[in-house]
Amino acid sequence: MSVILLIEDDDAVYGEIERLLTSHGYDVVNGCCGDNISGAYDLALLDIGLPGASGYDICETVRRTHDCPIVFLTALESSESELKGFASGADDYIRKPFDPGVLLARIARLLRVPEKSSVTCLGITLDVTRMEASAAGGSTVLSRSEFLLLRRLMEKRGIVTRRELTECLWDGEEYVGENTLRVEIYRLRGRLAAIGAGVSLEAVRGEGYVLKGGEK
Amino acid sequence: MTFGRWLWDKTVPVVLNICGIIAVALFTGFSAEWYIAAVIAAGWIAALAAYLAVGYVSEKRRVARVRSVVLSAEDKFLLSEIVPEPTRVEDRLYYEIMRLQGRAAIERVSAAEAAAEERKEDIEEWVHELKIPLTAIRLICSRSDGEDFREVEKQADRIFDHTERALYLAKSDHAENDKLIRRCDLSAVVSEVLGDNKRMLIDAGASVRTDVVGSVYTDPKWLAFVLRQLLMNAVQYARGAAEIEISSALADGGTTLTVRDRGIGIPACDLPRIFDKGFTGTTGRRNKKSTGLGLYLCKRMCDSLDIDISARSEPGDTSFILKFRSVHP
Repeated sequence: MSVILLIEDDDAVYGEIERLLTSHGYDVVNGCCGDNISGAYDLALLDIGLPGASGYDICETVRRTHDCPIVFLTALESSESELKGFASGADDYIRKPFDPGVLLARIARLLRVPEKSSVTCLGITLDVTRMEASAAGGSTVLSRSEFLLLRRLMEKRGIVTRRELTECLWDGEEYVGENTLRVEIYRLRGRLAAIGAGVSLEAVRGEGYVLKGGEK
Repeated sequence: MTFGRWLWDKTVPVVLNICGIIAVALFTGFSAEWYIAAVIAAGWIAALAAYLAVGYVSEKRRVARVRSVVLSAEDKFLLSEIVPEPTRVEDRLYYEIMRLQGRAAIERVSAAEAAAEERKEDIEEWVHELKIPLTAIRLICSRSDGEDFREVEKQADRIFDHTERALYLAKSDHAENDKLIRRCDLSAVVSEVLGDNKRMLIDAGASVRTDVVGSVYTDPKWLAFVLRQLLMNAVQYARGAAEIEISSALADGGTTLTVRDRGIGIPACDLPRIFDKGFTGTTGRRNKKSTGLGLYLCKRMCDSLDIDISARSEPGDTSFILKFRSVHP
């Protein structure tokens, strides 16, 4: 899997980012002491630190020897520092605190990791590009909301909280309220039944929903 | 400065002159021919009149010149440095006093400006430091399941919210330096703002409809901050779950972006004051406490970005309208 060079001043944040990246299948190399900068890696994740720090210099050093994407991660607010970042050769610039999902998505895009074109689980195959779900009894094209919810339920393979499902819809630019979630789940159930998927989409009281194999 | 007033200051020399004319005329009249006396008197009167006329006109011009300098100066504490130096000895005393005062004022103002700049930098540095543990907290909460972590995440978001306000408050005094105007795709900015604030909005049970197209020239971060404040406002004044609508429109003056909600509305008496610093409406707010800074900052930032921000409200229908100036190609 891809190797990421991580340079981050703060220990706690370093630890969390490393954990985030390794749990998503990346290998992390520590560049904080400067020795690994000349090594081999597929992407560099740099912290700029306070104004006047060496983040920009490091970026230029990396740029001179590597052709990989460079991403700046920083708590610096100003547009000026963003401009400087891009001028030093960075490919992306993310401000702290950031959404881990956003960081992962940007890294995946820069590394040109092909998005999974389909997800399969419990006898259902979900075609991501066409938003189409197929099972034993046929296939159907889902609405955007239904697709986002089903994908989440299938990927998690466990209980997904209502909160998480709502956030998932919002990430997909469907800015819905509580009631709409209930309605969409109800609709999704109908769709799954229509394609003969041998699953049940159950509500777990006080928690959320879960996709279970075997009809109820 | 009327002729009468100017002349009044010269009463003594004018009277002396008149006495002189009369005295010489009488003296000459008794000792020589009357017509010689008349010539002398006429000559003297003519000279006096000419002196007074020229004196008045040139004085009037001088006053007008000094006045125009004073009225056009923006920073009046710099006047002592730019007012034309007086030539008359009588004026020099006041000029000297003015210079001294001016120098002292300039020094004070410069010191105050330098102190404010330093304070702004201190705040920026402090906020920068705060964001690091906030980042760690957000990452930890993100990878952990459980309502407790959602609660911690929510509170961390509140802290972040306050740091943003502190930062922009510090920046708004020095607006010119920190903005970077560029072309922004409105719908991308709106998506990003809704994404960044989804937790807060979802928590409030909000639903948002968007219908945004077009692009504008502005600083996207500042615009994002303004939109965030408007969204928080909509949540505060909601009736139950907030229903928000964000839409754009093209008008001949430029593009407008409207954030509309169906909340309880802002009372008509409060409406003119909502952008005042520290103004907190009292009717039916969700959280009773408020810094009163959100909309104040919005107005300041919009002014600095040349965006016209206005609000319309009735119970059940409130809109905040941002009007962007169109850029002529």
